Amino acid sequence: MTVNKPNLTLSLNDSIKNVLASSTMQLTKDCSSHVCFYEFSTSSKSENKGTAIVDPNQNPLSLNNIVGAALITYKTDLVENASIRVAPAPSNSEHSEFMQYFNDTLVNLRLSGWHRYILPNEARVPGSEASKFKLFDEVLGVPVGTGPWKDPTLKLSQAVWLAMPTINTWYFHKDGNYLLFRVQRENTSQAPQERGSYLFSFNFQSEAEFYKNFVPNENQDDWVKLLPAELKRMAQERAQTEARLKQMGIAIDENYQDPPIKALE
Amino acid sequence: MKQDLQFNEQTCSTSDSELHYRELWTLGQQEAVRRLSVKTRIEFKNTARYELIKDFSTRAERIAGNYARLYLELERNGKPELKGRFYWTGLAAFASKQVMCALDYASNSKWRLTGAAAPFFDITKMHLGEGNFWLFQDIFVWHWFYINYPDEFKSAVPERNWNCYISDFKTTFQELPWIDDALPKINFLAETTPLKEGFDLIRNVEALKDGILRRELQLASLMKIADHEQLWILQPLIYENWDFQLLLDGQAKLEGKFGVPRRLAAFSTQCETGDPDRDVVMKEGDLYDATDRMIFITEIANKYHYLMNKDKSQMETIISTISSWHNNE
Repeated sequence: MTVNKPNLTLSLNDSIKNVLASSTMQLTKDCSSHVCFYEFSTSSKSENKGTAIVDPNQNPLSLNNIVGAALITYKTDLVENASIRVAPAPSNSEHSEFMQYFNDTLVNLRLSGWHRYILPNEARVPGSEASKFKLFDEVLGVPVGTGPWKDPTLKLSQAVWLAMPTINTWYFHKDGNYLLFRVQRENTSQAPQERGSYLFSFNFQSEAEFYKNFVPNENQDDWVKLLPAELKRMAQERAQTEARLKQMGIAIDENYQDPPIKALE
Repeated sequence: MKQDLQFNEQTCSTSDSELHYRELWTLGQQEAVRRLSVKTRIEFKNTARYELIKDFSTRAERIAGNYARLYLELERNGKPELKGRFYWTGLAAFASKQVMCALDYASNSKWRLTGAAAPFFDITKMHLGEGNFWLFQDIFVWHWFYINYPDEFKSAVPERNWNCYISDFKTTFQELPWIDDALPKINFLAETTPLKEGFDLIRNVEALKDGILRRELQLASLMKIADHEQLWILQPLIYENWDFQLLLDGQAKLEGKFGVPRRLAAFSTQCETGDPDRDVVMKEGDLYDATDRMIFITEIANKYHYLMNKDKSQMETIISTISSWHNNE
């Protein structure tokens, strides 16, 4: 017997009403004064995990084996923040199986128009330079989120994969929207080098939602006004870091340009 | 698959530095007990004595208050300029408040009047009380050490083990509730991998100014410490008990509340009275299954994180109110 999987069709900035109307996934509503969460959650062992199509009208991204979802509205009925969580294989499967899912996902993201995003204060170091950096999340002694090891074009060996921290996030952008793709790993205690358990989380954010993170929480309503000054400060920080790295013989990806911010145009 | 929770069988080290750490861990443990005790000394007559607060609900209230103080950097040697680095403790303040609500509910529910339900609530109360108490005994001390001896923390972590505490204090500690049941189950409070990772991330959070990366690392540290808490402390102490397992389904039907702030309404100082089915411990899946545990933790963390991003001042105002419960009697 064919079971119809719970399906979610999602476009950021669409109204929650439209999303609910075009989806079969049963989302539970939980609201407080300004915030509403529309949630789906199931066990990783469930036979009835969900599927999703993100951006159905523009290079759609298809996701399967969904074990959790949270669509969030804030003050309006628009979905500006959505998280989808995927368990592609059972707990304690081989790392190689999850790495395959990771690599396939990076290909699918590229085909769907998602590009690498580098935080505006961080140096634009390509993945080809990664081996010159001993620490995965640090450049010149400062923690980074989008350093060379997080270049999605970099092919990671299993040894490197296992040496990385157990929570890692890769950043992407597409047509003014942003994606934080997080991988959580727990090595199996009896065979840590061979097997593990994983959760892959896709956190999609609208432009406004994403850049509000660049200003203090209490000033988020004024993000358009405050962002230019912060971006200027961040650009200076990047320039200084890149200058030092160049002196050290590290290549900088000069072709990388920060994505345009529609609200500032 | 069931995790292999092996006991730490190492003998206690005896070098000077290791002895020093054993003394400090003992002091930290003493402080954790003191936070849940009242002074019983008659002024100027006897030496100070502390007596553990007997009421489970008041203990939960105090625990919530102490977590809130950690988050707000109100501890001695706290660093207000780094507020937010102990991100998990903010969530834990709400969680302990929920435990307090559950304990009140278990003690006062009208369902008790039916008679048949009374043992049901007593078992609930006992497990919640034990889990909340020993979780605090574990996690408060890690934070206490980190705040007071940040430079020594990393080398001191492997030295923490209840069996290696200074013996004079161990005798007093022997009177703590559920001690014989709890300590072997939680590996005598020894380090775990997710705990160490969580504190490494806290160190990174400290190096960053507020912004998207700091917020991401705060969330990551929270998830690692939550993993430690769920797998190594609460799972063996509470969820594994067969009588508690039996209660789970029935409890939801009786409007039970098990201390996990899953609904937005739980992020307040109130005991909510909403849809009971949403406010129970994980029903689908198994906390011993690593993926299910990650799903469970991520779902809760996601909600807390969103509110902390969107409504930080309101959330911190609530945490501040909860912090005032730290010495309730």
